[in-house]
Amino acid sequence: MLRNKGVWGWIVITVVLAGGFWIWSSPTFRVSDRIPINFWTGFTGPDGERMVELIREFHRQNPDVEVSLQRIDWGVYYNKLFVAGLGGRSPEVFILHAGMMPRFASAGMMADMDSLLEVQGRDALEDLVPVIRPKLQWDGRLVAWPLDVHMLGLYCNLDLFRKAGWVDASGNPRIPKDRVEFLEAGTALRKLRTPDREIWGFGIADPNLIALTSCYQFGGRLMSQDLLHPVLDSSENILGLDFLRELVGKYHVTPPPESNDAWIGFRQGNIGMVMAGIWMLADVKGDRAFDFDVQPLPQLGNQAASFGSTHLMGLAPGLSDASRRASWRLIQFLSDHSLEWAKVGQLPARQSLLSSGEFRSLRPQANLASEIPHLVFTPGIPSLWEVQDEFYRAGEKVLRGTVPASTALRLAQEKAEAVLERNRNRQSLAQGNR
Amino acid sequence: MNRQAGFSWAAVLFLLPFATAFLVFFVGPTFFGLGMSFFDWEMLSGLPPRWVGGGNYLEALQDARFHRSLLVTGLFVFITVPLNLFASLGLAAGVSALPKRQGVYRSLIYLPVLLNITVASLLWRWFFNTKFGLFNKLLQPWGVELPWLTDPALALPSISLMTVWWTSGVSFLILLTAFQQVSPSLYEAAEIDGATAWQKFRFVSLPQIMPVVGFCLLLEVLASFKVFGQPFLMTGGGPEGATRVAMQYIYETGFSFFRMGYASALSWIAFFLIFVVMLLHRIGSGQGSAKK
Repeated sequence: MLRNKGVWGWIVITVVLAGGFWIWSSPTFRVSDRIPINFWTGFTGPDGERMVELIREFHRQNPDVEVSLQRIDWGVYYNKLFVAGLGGRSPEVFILHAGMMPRFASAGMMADMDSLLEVQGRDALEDLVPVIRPKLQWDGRLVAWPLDVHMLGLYCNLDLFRKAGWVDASGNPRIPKDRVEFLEAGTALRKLRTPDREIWGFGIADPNLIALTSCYQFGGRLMSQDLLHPVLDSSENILGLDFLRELVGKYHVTPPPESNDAWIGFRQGNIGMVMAGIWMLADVKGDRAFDFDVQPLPQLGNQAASFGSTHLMGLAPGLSDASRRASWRLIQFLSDHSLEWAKVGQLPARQSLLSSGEFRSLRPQANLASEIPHLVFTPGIPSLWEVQDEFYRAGEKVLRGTVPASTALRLAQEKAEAVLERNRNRQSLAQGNR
Repeated sequence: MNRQAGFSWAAVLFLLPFATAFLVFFVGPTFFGLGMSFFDWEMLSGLPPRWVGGGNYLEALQDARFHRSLLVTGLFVFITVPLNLFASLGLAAGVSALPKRQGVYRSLIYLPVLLNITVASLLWRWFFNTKFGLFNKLLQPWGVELPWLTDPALALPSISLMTVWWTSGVSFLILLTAFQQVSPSLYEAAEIDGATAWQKFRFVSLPQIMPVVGFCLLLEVLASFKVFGQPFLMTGGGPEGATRVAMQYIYETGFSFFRMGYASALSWIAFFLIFVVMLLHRIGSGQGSAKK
């Protein structure tokens, strides 16, 4: 029996506090008549700060809506999002990359947006850059709306270019546009090395995306046109990976690949050129250590191409009508203000904004707008991560010179086929989005 | 006396919140995971789980990548645990022998433990950078350039080195306390017998703190088997899978490829292996006591 009054006192206090907290945190207890919207993103860097500012502006313009912005690191973001979705607790609005959309949409975690777009008018869809439009649909339904479009760019250390004498008649650095210029610039930059300081022409900052881009430029792809079969061991992909390996082993303009560390080398002023995502802009923009520029990728293969993606905004299924309309208002607000968003890196996905004077004067983002028609998105299949993972493993082996591209890609092809075969029995996983 | 030995409602009430949370968040998911390991469940497929019996376990037996990840984990334990134990033992012995300022050294050695794993890993990733990192910069005058994280043979030992720096403070603190518990009269007696510093350590300190060393060994073995953050953040499992440990493989299977049933089976196999190691340690410790 409890004879000690102190114990009873503590129990009562605990129960009262716990009960009070439970009631206070209950959605039904809210006294506010504002419509609550949970909005999840993976923007944890400078882009996250900009998103906070945009949400503040949204609150000013929409006093009847209360947005709770949740910023979660990309490394764990999708885990949390899918666990929330499985438990029926998806946030009302969430961001996801184009490559992830099929997986979430096929699991029924993304609501149909067609009726909302009908009310607004389908002209808005026509304003989006054409390459993105197919990425918004699943099973013939509109399930996402783009916030931006992003791609790789060629980051150049202009000081090193000048030092290497790689300049035009007016003394301006000559940014390479094709394979020949790229190799010549890389060789010229490499010559700047001294016994005390290693200088490299080109660094492989993000081996996976660069391997993809190189293969795309030689005409390679991950999946067949009908999205039913992997084509990892195609001759085009072999050429793409071989070329990257040659930068290290034949042309000697690139240091051996070191997981993302070429970016550090670039920041330190020891690498003249890196291909990196436009999202890395904020990381280097505040750096006054050297003069730099970001330009479209040079054409290394037989066609212009770059890895491309987009941050999509999705809606949770099963929302009330009021919540759904308020969420759509938030999505459209962010889309309308994607020029503000572009200031931290990613480009707007709307043609009207891309052609505006304000965007054209936004450097270096505007430089990359010419890449948009050539962007190659990862194939819209739910098994993308597994297939991509096999390609990345092969790419790593080739870049390190462990095995020839043909051998590595043949093995990757076998593994990818096994993955797709396993998933083929699951009807919803066999669908694809071109 | 009666209240101490008898049933107490107060004890039950105080235990209730923790017991509830323990059942809901630990015991429940553990058995849920066990059940899940007998199903083929691709969580995002939208399809219900399909009973496969021991199919996932059979697949694991043939999964060369999983076997390799277990081997990598075993290697990590094999390298890290002795290094960590010797480092913390040496540091604890050294600091306990200091006449003053023990507190300062204690704090300095423990400091890395307070660092977040992400911060520590990213910091060391830069230290280890082959071309532009701190270590190779320091080694440059001797013409040495080591591919710390980029050579499959060196990457795992490099991560072990970082782990020792990051975690040895825990065992150090426990062992330092053990050293301080040894009765000074034993050292005085040894001194009278003319024992050297090494002999005092070998024949006085070490036997006295042996049970604590055993405890630290167990803690470190368990922690090393569960390693995940350091390789995940520093190498992503590379180069060429040389640092892809079992936990990362399980994580990728479950949360990147969403094969929850298979990931659960892999988790149970990993649990079983850790359990066997614990059992062996227990048997080993028991035999040690019996000899004494």
